[in-house]
Amino acid sequence: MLSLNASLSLASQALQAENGAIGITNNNIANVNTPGYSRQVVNLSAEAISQSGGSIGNGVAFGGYTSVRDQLLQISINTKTSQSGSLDTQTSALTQIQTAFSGTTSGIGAAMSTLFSTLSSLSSNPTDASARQSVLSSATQLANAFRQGSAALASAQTSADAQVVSTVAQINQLTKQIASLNGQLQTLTGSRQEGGSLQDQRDQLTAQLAQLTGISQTQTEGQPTLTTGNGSPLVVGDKAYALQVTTGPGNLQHVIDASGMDVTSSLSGGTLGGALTIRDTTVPGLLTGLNSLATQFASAINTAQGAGFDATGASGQPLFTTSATNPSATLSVALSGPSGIAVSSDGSSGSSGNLANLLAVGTSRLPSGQTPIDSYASLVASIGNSASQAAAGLTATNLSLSQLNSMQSATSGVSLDEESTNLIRYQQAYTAAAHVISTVNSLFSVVMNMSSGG
Amino acid sequence: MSTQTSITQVNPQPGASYLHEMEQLRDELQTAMLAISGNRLSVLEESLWRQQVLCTSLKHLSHTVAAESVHSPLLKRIRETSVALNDLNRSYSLLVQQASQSNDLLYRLCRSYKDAAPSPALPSAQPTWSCEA
Repeated sequence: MLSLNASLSLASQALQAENGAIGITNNNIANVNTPGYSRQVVNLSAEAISQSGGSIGNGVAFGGYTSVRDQLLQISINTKTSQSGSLDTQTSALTQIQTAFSGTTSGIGAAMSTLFSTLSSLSSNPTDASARQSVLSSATQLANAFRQGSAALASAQTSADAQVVSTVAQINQLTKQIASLNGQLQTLTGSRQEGGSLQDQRDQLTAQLAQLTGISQTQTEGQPTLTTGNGSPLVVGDKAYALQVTTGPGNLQHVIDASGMDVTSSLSGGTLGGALTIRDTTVPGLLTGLNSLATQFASAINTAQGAGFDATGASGQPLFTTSATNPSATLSVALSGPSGIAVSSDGSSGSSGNLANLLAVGTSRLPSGQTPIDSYASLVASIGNSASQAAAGLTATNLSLSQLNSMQSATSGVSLDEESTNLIRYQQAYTAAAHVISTVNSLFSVVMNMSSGG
Repeated sequence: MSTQTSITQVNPQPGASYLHEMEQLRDELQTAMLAISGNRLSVLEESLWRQQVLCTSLKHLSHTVAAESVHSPLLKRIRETSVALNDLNRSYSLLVQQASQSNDLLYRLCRSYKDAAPSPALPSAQPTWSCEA
């Protein structure tokens, strides 16, 4: 028979276990609307109740709880989150660039049209000073438009560069927090608790990290390990490995991993990957196209100028000047006055024979194979395509992410219907138990009043 | 201890039957406590059904046993078992009280999340089991 001590031991254990179980239900309900919360289930273990001479029967011990989580889904969610972070950053930057290049009444395309329009008006009166001034003004506007376009790209690159610095700082902060949580979880492992809420926090922080950069999740000697996509360690167990930034070629910030290796080119995904793509691939590509157009256009116009004579009868001088290193940013009008427009083909003031050469620049193919207007239109279309591709990719990735989150909710989420139904059944059971308790109390009095018959 | 305990009267003597059923009830209280702590609702419900049957039988037998003179050694065992049952019942009572209070709070919390508005208290006791005569 169970001794009083053993009974009390069993009761005490059961009370503790019940406390734990109630606490977990409380957690589940309280966190029904908490993003990233994984439903917890109770772990109970049978424990022998010791009584003099050995152990009897089984009691129950509260063995902590297990969060219901699907690691594979979590990794998929983190991957999609990284893609989403990268595309979001790219979409945002490309939208800004697109705004700078898509104007129909201003910008490079409009300025080119205006230049050829004002040149055309000179044909009827090549000596008209105001008409010549209009040509010079439109050429100045075109040079300004090129510089503005170049500045817009440089600005996008600078923003992306600044984003690299701030994102690396955020990554370092998160990896530090994740490492700290790993340390706490390691401590809990020894005390038979799984630390579901700490794991939830860690999952949340890991998702935030994935939003910032592409990550890989592995185990190193049993310790949770987070690395960048190329394998540079970010967190190993309770240790965080900080990334650093340093000024590199082009005055741009480069990312250095904990071993001192420059990992800039191998980072992808997340805000960092998106910013690096914009800074190191998208903007340089667009800038190359713009510089090429500026160089080829200036060269074609200057060649046409050189074939004619200005208002003073001198050989035509270059209309535009530019530097070799950054043509679109330095494009400017070289002529000091309207008389420098080389309209004449023979040096006489009434000639407008060279105007055909100047106007032909607008319709002739540049070395790129396209006319200046078409070349610029291609550049704008390229920006538009990149922006729309990034936006479409972002929409698709976000939908996929929503689906994955729903799938995770199905396994990890809290069902209020299930919880409340069980609570009602428990309450009915407790009511019935109260009747039993009352009856056992009255039976005790009856027994104590029984008399012995021998 | 088994959750499949059968409720049988094995001894024709009222005192012996009384003792046997008290032991069975004690086992059932232990089963119920483990079921509560282990969140095993169906086990708890099954045990409660058996507890009711035992309570009804013990109440009926107690009148018979009290009217008779019980043999001393048997009475001694009945009293020991009764003390153990009473102690266990006290713990069971505390457990049920605490669990019931927690359950009520959780139910209100659950409803408030579900309906986004405070809900009335849990439905009061429903006619499920009773071991009152």
